[in-house]
Amino acid sequence: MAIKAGLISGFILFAVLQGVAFAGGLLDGELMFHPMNRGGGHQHGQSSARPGGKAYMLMNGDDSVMRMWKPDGDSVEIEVSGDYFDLPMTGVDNYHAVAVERKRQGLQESYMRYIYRRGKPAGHSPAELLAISKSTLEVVPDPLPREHRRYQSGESWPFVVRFKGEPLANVGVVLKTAHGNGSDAVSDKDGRVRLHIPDDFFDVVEWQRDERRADFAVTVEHQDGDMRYRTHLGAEYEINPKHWRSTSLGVLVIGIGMLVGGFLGRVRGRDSKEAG
Amino acid sequence: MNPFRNLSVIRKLVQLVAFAFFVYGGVIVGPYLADKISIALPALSCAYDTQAADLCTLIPFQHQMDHRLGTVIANGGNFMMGLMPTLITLGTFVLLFVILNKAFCGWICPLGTFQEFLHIVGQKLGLRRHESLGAETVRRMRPLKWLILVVLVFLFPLLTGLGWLNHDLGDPFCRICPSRILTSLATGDASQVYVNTANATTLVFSLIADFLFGLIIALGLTVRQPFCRICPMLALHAVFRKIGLLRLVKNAKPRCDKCGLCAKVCPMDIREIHTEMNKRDVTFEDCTLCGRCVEFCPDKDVLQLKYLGFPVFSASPAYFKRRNKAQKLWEKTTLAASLKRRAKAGKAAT
Repeated sequence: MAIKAGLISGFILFAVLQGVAFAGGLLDGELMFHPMNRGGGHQHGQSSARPGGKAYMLMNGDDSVMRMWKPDGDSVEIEVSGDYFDLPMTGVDNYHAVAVERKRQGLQESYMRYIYRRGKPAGHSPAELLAISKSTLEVVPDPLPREHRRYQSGESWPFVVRFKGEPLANVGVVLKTAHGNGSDAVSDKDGRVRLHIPDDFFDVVEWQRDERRADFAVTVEHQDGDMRYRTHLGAEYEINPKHWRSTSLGVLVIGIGMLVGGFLGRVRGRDSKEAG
Repeated sequence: MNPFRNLSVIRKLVQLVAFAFFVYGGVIVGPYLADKISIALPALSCAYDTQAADLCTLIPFQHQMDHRLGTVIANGGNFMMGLMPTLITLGTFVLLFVILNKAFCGWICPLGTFQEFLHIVGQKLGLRRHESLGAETVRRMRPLKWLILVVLVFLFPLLTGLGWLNHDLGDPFCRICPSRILTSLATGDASQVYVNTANATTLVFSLIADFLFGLIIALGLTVRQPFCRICPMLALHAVFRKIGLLRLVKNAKPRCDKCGLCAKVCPMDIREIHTEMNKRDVTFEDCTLCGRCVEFCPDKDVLQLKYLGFPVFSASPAYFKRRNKAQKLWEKTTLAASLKRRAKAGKAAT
C-alpha cells in the first residue's frame, strides 16, 4: 500500500514538474491548463502525443467550467475534479477545441487550446471549428498549423480576436512564452494580428537537434460596460530546426550538384559529338 | 500547325494546370480543405508543400510501414489491422491508376513537368542536348527505380517500424526526393533546402537530396527527364500497368524495322517501342504515356493511345507531317539563333 501510494505521489510530482518545466512562469495565478507529460520526439500534430485521451493539469481552475468541441461543432462539458483531468475520446480525430471559463465579479476569464488528434480525417474542416464562438472574448488561430506542422520559435503567426463572435479591432494582443519573452501587436479592423514567437529556448546548441517544447499564451483583455473580459489562447511551440538545419549549406550543395550535372552534360555532349 | 491540335502543346497545357493545382491548390481550395484532401486522397503531389492540394502516395506508404505494419509486427497485434492502412492507400492509388494509368507521369507529375520545362529552357538557350541516352546507360539505370521503391519506400520504413533502424529512416525516400524541394520552393518556402546536422543519417540524406536536386537541374537542361528514370513512382506504376484503362498499342508493320522514330523521340529512351514487333500492348515499364511516339509515327494507326480499347489518338501521316514541321520550326527558335539574326540584321543596316 505504501509502495503504491509512493508510486502515485511520485507520478503526480513528476507530472507537476513536467508541467512546471514547460509552462512554468507562464500566466502565474491565472486560469489555464496544459498537457502534463510532453517529451520531445516524433509526434504528429501540435499538442497531443497519442490519439486517445491525455492527462492535463488545470491551474487556478476553481469555479470554472470546461467544454470540449469536436471537429463537427458538437460540444461536451468536461468534468474536472481536482487539478487533473483527462480529455475523453470523441470517436473522431483532427483538431478539437477545449475551453475553460470562469465568471467572477466584474471579470470573465477564459483559457483555450486547440488540440490535434492525429489519424483519420474528421469529415469537417478545422475552419468550421474555428468559426464557432467558444467564449465571449477569444483569440482564434488563423489558420491552425497543418498536419506535420507546429508553431516554432522565431516564426510569426496570424490570429484573430473576436468579441461576442465578431472581430474586435484596435485591441492590444500580447504573446508570452514560458521562457518569459514575448511580442505584442494591435488588432486591425478585421481583428487580425500577426505575432512573433521568440526564439528563446535556453541552452540551444547549434547544429544539434533539440526537440524540447514549451507553452506560449496569447492574451487579450477587453472592457465592455461593467464587465472586464480576459482570454488566453494556449499552445505549444518547439525549437526552430534552423538551429540544426543550414539553408546556406543546402544551397551550396545544390550548387555543387549543378556543377557536377553541368560537367556530366558537357562530357556526354563531347562523347556524342565524337561518336556522331 | 494549329497549336491546339498539337498533342505536345495540349499535354503541356494540362501539365501547367496540374502543376498549378497540385502545387498551389491550397490557395484555391483553402489550406483546411487542402489539409482534408491531403489526408483523404493519398495520391499525387507533395505533403511538404504547404500550399499543395493533396499528397504523394509514397508518403503514406512509408509512414504506414514505419508506424503501422512494422509496429504491429514488432509489438504483436492484429497483422491485418497493421496492413489495412497500406491496403487502403494502395486501393486509392490503384483506383486513380485505373483511370490514368501511367499518364500520371507524363501529364500530371509536377516534377516531370519541371524537368520537361528545364529541357525546353536548355533547348532555347541553345545548349547541346542529348536526344537520347545510350542503350547501355538506359539498361543500367532501369533497376534503380525498383531498388529505390523496395528499399527506400518499403524496406527501410518497415525496419524502422520494427525498431531496427533509427527513426530518421522512417521516410527515407522523402528525404532525398527532389519534388519535396521543388514544390516547396515553388511556393516561396526555402525550408526544405537544408543540410541537416542532427545526426549522421540526416546529414547524409540531406546532402544527397540537395546534391540530387542540383544535379537534376543541370542535367535536365540537356538530358530528357533525368530523375523520372529512377523515380519509384514509375516503378509503382509499372506494377499495375496492366490494369490501367489507357494503353499504348502498336500494330507493327514491316516498315517499323527501318524507321525507329518512335524510340528516338521517346523522352524515356524506350527502344523496345521500336523493336517490339509482336506484342500489341507496348506500355512498357518506363513509359509515361506522353504520346510523343504516336505523334512522330509516320504510318497510319501503327501506334495508338487507346482508352478502354477505343483509340483516342492514332498515328497518321498527315499529323506526322504537320508535327514534324512544327518541331523543326520550334527547334530552330533558340536564343542563340535570334541573337545571331539580330547581329546579322544590325550588320546589314550599317
